[in-house]
Amino acid sequence: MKFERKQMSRAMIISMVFLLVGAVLVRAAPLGQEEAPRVSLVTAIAVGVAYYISLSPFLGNLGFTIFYRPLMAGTVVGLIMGQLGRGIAIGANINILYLGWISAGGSLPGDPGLAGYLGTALALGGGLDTDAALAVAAPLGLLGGLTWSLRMSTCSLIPHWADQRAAEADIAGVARSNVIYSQPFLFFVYAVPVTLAAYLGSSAVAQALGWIGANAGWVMSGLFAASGMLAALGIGLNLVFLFRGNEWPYYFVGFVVASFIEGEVNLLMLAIIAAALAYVHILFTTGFSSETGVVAEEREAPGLLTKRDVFKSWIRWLFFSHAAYNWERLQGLGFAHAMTPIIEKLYKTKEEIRKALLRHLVFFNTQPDIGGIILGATIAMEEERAAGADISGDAINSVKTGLMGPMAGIGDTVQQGIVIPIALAIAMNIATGGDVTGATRGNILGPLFFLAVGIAFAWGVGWFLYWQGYKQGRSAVTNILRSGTLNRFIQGAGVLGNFIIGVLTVSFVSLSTPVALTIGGSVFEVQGILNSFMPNLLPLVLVMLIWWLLSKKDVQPTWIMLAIIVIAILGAYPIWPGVNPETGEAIRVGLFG
Amino acid sequence: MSSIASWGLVRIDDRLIHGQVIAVWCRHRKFDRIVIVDDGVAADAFMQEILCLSAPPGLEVVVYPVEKGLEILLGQTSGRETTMVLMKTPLVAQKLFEGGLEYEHLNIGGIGSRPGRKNIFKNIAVSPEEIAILKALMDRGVEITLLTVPGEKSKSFAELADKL
Repeated sequence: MKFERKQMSRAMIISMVFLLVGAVLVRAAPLGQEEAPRVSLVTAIAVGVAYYISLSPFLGNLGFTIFYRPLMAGTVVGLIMGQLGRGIAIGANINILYLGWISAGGSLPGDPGLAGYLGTALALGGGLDTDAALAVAAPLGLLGGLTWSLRMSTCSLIPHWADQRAAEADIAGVARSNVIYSQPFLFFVYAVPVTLAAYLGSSAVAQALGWIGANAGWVMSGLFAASGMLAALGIGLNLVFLFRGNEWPYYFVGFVVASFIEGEVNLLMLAIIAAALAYVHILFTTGFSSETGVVAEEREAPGLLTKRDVFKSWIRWLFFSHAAYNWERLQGLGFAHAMTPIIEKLYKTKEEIRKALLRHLVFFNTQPDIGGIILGATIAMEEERAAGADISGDAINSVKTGLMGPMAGIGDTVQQGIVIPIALAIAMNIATGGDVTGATRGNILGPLFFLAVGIAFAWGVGWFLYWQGYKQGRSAVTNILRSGTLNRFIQGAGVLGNFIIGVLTVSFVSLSTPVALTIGGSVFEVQGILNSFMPNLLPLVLVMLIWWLLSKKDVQPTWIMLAIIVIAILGAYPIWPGVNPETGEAIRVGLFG
Repeated sequence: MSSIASWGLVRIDDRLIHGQVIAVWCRHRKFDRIVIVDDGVAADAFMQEILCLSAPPGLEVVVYPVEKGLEILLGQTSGRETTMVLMKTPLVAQKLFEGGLEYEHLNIGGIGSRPGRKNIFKNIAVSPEEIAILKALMDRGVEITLLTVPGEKSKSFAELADKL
């Protein structure tokens, strides 16, 4: 008890220090005399809170996978700031970089949520053009890594408090540890810095833009060029995942098909072509014959639990699997919390409850939607054990720890590698009418489409697998894997993914050059010469170069990102030979158009 | 031995196959084979089937107990650069090395904490015995890196070793 209070007060002190530092900063911040803050404090607070919520457990597993993505962040911030259309367009623009973003096993490569929420607030508040937003927001995403390690280390304390509750057979105490103790701390860590940055940052952005406009206009065109080229990094990151096996040629099919289309690309229509190709591809490679006629083995349930009990457990898992996510046990506490209604129903003596709680507080980590099947199977085993079957606690845990890895491998591939990127690409396409880099007003149908896919996956597929896990026990996993459907799905999605990424190379990446050489009186426009070989040659070369650096040379995405921004801005300095398109006079231009 | 290519990756990860291995490592590098060396899993038909079935198309997963695994690995002279050797503990890594599988690099991707183990980096925790094993491997020239997935922050075990 004492131990717990001490830890608790430590977390509260850390939070209070954050708050105080924040308050002092706001008071002492040297705001320009006549320059009023572009974002009101109330709005800034709303943005900070929205960022926290996107990572909180309160959205039923739609946070990290849906609302944490810049497209949704832009939509939410746009709504808060009364500029919905622009917010969506900016969010879509920033999202290009994070299309292929995968966070596996507690690793966090950059922070799309921070780039999305803060980036959109700064762009809207500071009056930044949509197509330059990505270049400003992208570096912000790097800062998120700092908060992440602070959070993952600090929350490692919480399972120890839960251990103490469990030792006293305090079921509600374990649930409380998971939900309540982490959130005040996380609220301050996430909401306060973003609130401050949005409040103070937007006038800084506005002032910087004013200065650039007056003194160095070429920098602005550098930012535009950087945004267009950063899209190639987003595509390249996706290609690391997709450009492989015997599915890679479809990337070029998508690229060429999109290059033929003049004007706006309707991705949904092209996706139908890709789906047809995927079908034919599987037909000629793996084939559709099911390897074995597997009949799902129904388990003989002892009848101690009802569907309602399993549902109660699932709801807890859906909301709180990552509530106190930490380095030491990752989802361990979330797992125990999900088991609380089951333990309460099955076990009556203090000793049994204590053992069951401690059994499920150990290290656990999987992909929460697909991995729900493990929780279902665990519930089945607990029920059989309570009914008197000879199943040891160790046996239950060995099934848990054995299955969590394979399910995470499949789940991350399917959800983060396939469902989210493809749904996002289509959503971004709908949101911007096919012109992601240029649209200034977005269509709300795009974010709504993405939200619908997220709900279908996290709630629909999630509950289905949880229930199957309970109904069939651990053999549910083998039954699903044996049918081969999953691997066909992954293969087909590889075809679809490559095709779509090929299309997006054309519609997302913008890179061209206005450089023109005048030799002996005749003008040679470099871009015209390149176009006569093939349209969109430069974007394709850039994407391939970045893919090669990422996958063959192990260059960190961060370095590529910084290099692109530096090269684009320096390259924009007008020292290159060009021609005024109206007068035909020789002038000096930047490297990128 | 010098004519034979190095192993694609020799990795300690007590979750064996999971998101980092399948969705990140195997997408970043070209792996077509994962050899899991673990006595416990090799004796568990259910887990063996799960691990083998969970491999995506184009990747073969095989599971062997330590002794048999050593024999198989020593006999595998081709395709080493596209093979990942995966095990749960430093103890198995030591057994393989002493059995003659002289790998130059060892990657530690994750070892869960439990009583007796101390957290040394992210989700990697080791016991005093395991530290001794890793130091011994280091002294015999193995370069040990603590790294979850390519592109993440990594740490060399040599840097940490003095403080442990």
